[in-house]
Amino acid sequence: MEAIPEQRLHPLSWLFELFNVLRQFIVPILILLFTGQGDRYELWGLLGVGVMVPLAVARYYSFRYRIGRDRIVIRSGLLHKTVRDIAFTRIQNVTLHQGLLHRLMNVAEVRLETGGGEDEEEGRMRVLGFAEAQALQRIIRSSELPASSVDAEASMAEEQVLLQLPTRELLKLGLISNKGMLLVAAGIGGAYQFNWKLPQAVFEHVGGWLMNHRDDLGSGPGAYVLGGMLVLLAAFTLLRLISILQAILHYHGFVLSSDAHRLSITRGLLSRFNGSLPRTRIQAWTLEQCWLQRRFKRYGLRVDAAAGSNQKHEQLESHWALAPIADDAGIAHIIGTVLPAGSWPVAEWLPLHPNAWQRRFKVPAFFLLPVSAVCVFWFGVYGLLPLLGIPWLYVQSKIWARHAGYAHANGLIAVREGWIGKHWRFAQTRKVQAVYLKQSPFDRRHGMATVFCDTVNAGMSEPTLAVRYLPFDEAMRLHDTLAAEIS
Amino acid sequence: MNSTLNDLDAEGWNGLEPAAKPLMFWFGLLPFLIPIVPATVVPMTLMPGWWGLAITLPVAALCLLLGISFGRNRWQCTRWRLDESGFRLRKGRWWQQEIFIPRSRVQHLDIHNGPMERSRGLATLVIHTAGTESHALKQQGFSLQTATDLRDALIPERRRDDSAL
Repeated sequence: MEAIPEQRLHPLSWLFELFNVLRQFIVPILILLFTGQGDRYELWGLLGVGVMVPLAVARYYSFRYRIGRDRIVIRSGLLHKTVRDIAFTRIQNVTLHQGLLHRLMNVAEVRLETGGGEDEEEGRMRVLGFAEAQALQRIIRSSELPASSVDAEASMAEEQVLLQLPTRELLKLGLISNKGMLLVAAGIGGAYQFNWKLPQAVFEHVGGWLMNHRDDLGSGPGAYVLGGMLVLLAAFTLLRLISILQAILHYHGFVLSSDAHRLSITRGLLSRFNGSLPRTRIQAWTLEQCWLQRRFKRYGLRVDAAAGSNQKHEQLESHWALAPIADDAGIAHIIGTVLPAGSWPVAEWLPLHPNAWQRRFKVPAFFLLPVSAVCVFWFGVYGLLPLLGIPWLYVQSKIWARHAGYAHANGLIAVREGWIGKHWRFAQTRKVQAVYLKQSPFDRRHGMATVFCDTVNAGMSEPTLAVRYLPFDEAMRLHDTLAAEIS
Repeated sequence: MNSTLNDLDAEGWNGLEPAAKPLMFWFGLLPFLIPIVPATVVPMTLMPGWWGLAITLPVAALCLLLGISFGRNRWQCTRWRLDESGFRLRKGRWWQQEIFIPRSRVQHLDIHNGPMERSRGLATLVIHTAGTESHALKQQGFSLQTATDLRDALIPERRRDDSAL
């Protein structure tokens, strides 16, 4: 084994090294070319490129790696030489990234993710031939198995496909998601960055055109309303089209598969992503169903993944969309593969405090009173319109309370909430790090309390794994059982 | 009605060090005094004569009241206990909570003591877990001895040089 010679990266590596440096200059160059405007100072950095090309070539010549039996040794550096010795067991994840350029040249960037790596360049190989990259990935993954366990090897061999997304599903995903709106908002923000007058100019231009053609459009409020609705419809259609495009670009050829040790995801139309997640790193789960998803009878499923300590960069993905879109059976299949049998779907959801709906209703309804008082002062009788929100809130909180619930059985703690859009948040109790019992003054008035389970790397945007509005005694009991279970 | 979480006289629960009381009071109070500065400067410059005081005084009184109550509660309403299973901390007067960290989930512990705490023999204990909210649970007001004892109790000698991951 030790006889394996040192290897070099792909001969075209220097090109990608260079491209990586140049990438930050591409947008200013394009803007300069097409508009003749922009900040020329941004381009001064280009002077450095003359130096970058020989450096990139030199880096290619100085970068060597050797694959040993249980480790990979990477030597790099021209003047300041570094030798990195990474044991396979320390590698938590191997991902292959392929952009458009990578795919044209049939190469891939390999990232060896180790737990503690503050330095994101550690274990990054830019770039390897695609076949070699896959071979490396296979070697590292297979080394995780203890050589003696034949059973594990047998189950390893058969990789089970959990979810595949055909284009029809991707169309639905695009229709459901709001990515289009986010992208447009980001685009407008970006336009402001380069030329803050641009959006305003576009707006004035369109406004001017409308003013000039107002006679053709007809007159009267009817025409304005019709025109406004047409514009909204057009904008809506455009946003959905962008969403669909984004979904197809991002998730084309999505395959989620599993073996004895990990879940693997492959996806992407132009730039391919191929990564895997060790099962042990899965923490809390989020299952989500917004209103549109309900119409299509689909769900979205994500998990939090434990990263190493202090992972701040995005290379090591910490929130995995295991199923961007899937139906009931698909979701149950995925969860059933990872969690112990019988834990999902939850057999019995327990209700919250019978008065839980009041907590959702009272405070917002109360806030509507001063709002409508101000409105009456300004608009007269029409100012009473906000009060219509009160029956609305009533219905909403009642529906919310009917769906809300929790479950704690078979080593799983689960919470469900929501009314139009619903979500389920759950985790294995052994993944819980700390248990909180909380009681606000409002809770105390109603004799309620909240039990919160803290898990690793719970995302800011994820719903919390907290059972709110529980009867106080029940909350105490739940807290004590959970505490006993994890200690 | 027995629906209060933080029963201050509960048996088996320890309070914080008496020496920490003034320190925690003042450090709890001080942040509440900051809003008094803009509440004085802005009305006094914008409003004629001494009329600005009509805004300044109520705001100052409110800040003082909140600050004093917060500062007192911080020491008074904190209870902790250590048992076989792990470390429990109760705190808060209005927003009460009980936090339970099992021994098995403690990643590491820090003991801080700044000059003010050192002169009184006090220490701040920080318990780290792999969790998100309990990533670093910080509690002031232990004596240095208690903090060290807690550290030794929560992380036994044999585990101290183990890798955490």
